[in-house]
Amino acid sequence: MGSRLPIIVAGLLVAIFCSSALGAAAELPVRRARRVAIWPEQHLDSPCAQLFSPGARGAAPHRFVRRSLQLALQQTFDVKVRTVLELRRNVTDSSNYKDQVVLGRERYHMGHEYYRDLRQQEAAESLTRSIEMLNSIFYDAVEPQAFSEILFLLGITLVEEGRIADAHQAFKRALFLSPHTTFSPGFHPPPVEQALSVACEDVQKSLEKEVPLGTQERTFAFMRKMKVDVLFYPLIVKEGDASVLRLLAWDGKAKNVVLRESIALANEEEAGEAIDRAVSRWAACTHYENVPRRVEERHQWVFSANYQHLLFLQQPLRNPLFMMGFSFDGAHFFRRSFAIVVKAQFLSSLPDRFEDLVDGFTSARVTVGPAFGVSGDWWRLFVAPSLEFHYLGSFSVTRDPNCKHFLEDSPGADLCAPGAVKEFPVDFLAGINVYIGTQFFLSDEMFLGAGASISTYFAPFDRTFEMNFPVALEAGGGVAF
Amino acid sequence: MRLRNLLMGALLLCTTAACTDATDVSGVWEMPESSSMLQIEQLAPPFTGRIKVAVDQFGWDVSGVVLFYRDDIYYDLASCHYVMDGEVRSDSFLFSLEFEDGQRLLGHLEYSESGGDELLKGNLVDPDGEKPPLQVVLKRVGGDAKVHREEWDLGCQ
Repeated sequence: MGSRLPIIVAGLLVAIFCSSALGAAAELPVRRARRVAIWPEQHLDSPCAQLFSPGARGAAPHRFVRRSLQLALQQTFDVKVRTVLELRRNVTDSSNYKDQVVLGRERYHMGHEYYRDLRQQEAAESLTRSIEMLNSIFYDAVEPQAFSEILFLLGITLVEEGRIADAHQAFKRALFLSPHTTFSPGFHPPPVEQALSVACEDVQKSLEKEVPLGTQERTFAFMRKMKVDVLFYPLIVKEGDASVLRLLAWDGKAKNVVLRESIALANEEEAGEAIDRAVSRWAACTHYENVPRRVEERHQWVFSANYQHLLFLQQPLRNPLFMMGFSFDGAHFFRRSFAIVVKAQFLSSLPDRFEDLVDGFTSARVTVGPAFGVSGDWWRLFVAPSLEFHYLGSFSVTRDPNCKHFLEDSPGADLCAPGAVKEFPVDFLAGINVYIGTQFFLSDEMFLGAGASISTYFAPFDRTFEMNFPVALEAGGGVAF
Repeated sequence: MRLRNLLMGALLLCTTAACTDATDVSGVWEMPESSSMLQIEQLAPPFTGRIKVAVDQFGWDVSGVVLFYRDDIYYDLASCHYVMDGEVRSDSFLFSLEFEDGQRLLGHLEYSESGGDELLKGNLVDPDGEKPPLQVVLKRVGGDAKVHREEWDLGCQ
């Protein structure tokens, strides 16, 4: 036996080393997928000179841009792509969308009536309120054409009010949302036509067009609401005579544009490849967060010590018999939510209310069995059915107060009737134990825990024992690695 | 809701069962110095003196001794008797005493507190009802530690 001991110890060390190595391999971080959405392609490549030439501003749709972009993103690892349709559905499914649309449209019609009654001030107020309401639900992302109509009317009203600067802003936003709109020459008074022309030139030249929802704040608010990390924004502009795709990626975490690529659209195939390359560059540089590992993924060994109180539901005393002590357990996780647990418990009896228990006794329990758990980032809940072996120390019980009060070998002890004291010799019990416990991790390695267990004994098979169904509550802490 | 009520009820029951304790008469009780000597006509021969009670209580069970002294200073011990069938019910301490000639006395004493003193007031009664009950007042002079220290837990020696 002596010569085998070093071999056994070496075997155990190798087993622990191998399981640790396997554990380390399993600890590779998992990247959280980036949630990406594609904004509908924005065309700002129609010449402003044709603003008053009805039907002349319809540009080539360049549908392949969105298709290529979607394909490239879908082929990228750890990226979840949300389509334009999904985005729109998300906006329209929000709880107050329909109510706000009704209210906003009502304000618009009211503004329209005021305008026709030549009450420009009231019209401007009503239209501004309509825009505020519709802005709050991102109506411009779903119905850009309808939204631009309100803005055009507001711009015209403001020009007639003499508020040219405000009208300029309204026209710019309207022409951004509805870039192919044209007007019949002479339909609007010259100041309105002039303001529209200036706004058209401005929206095509300024950098504001690179912000899909008018302002950065609204753009990021929209991304937050849609639960989108990165918003890809394909903007088609004119450079010289050629249409060029300016591909932008707005990053909600960086609060900035993290990709700005200009891609010529003359050749669809080449443009598609360029989009693919741009997406690859973005994917290579974008910051992925690691998914926090669950408790069971962080460790394989768990050791804990607990303070324990135990109550026997079946026992020979008139009052509850409590015991107190400590438990020590070790567990090895073979899988994420499966472990083998060995637990040792050492307990001492506490005096009962009637002191029927003449002498205190000690007890030791060992349980062995599997544990099944579920866990989150900082907690674990588990159940452990196990086999229990219980060493129950000897004790004696009496209900006669004279046997409790008078000392042995004293004259008073004669009052203690023979047989009034029942002796319980040392006993070995075996049965089944079920433990339900929880652990709260203070750090990766340390935790506080609490749990409850109940046992039932079936051995010795002659059922001579009078103690059964111990219920235990315990609390303590431990380490995991 | 029903489960919550059940749990609350169980908790209340456990709390009252664990915390509501009956009167504890464990300790040593003597007649107050101000009281006159006790004359027990019920006994033959009649006894004149003072009595001391040294008992331990276990739940509602009581065991111990009652000592009869002939003097005022609890020195001249006349006799020692075991408390039989001693028990505490609510605030009442009930027991019986047996004498050598087979005579018996029943004790029915009520626990009370007065001016910071713990008292047992009541009667010693002849079970046959031939003699009138005898009023007794006892004052606590020590807890169960004194019972053990003075070795009254050895019994009547």
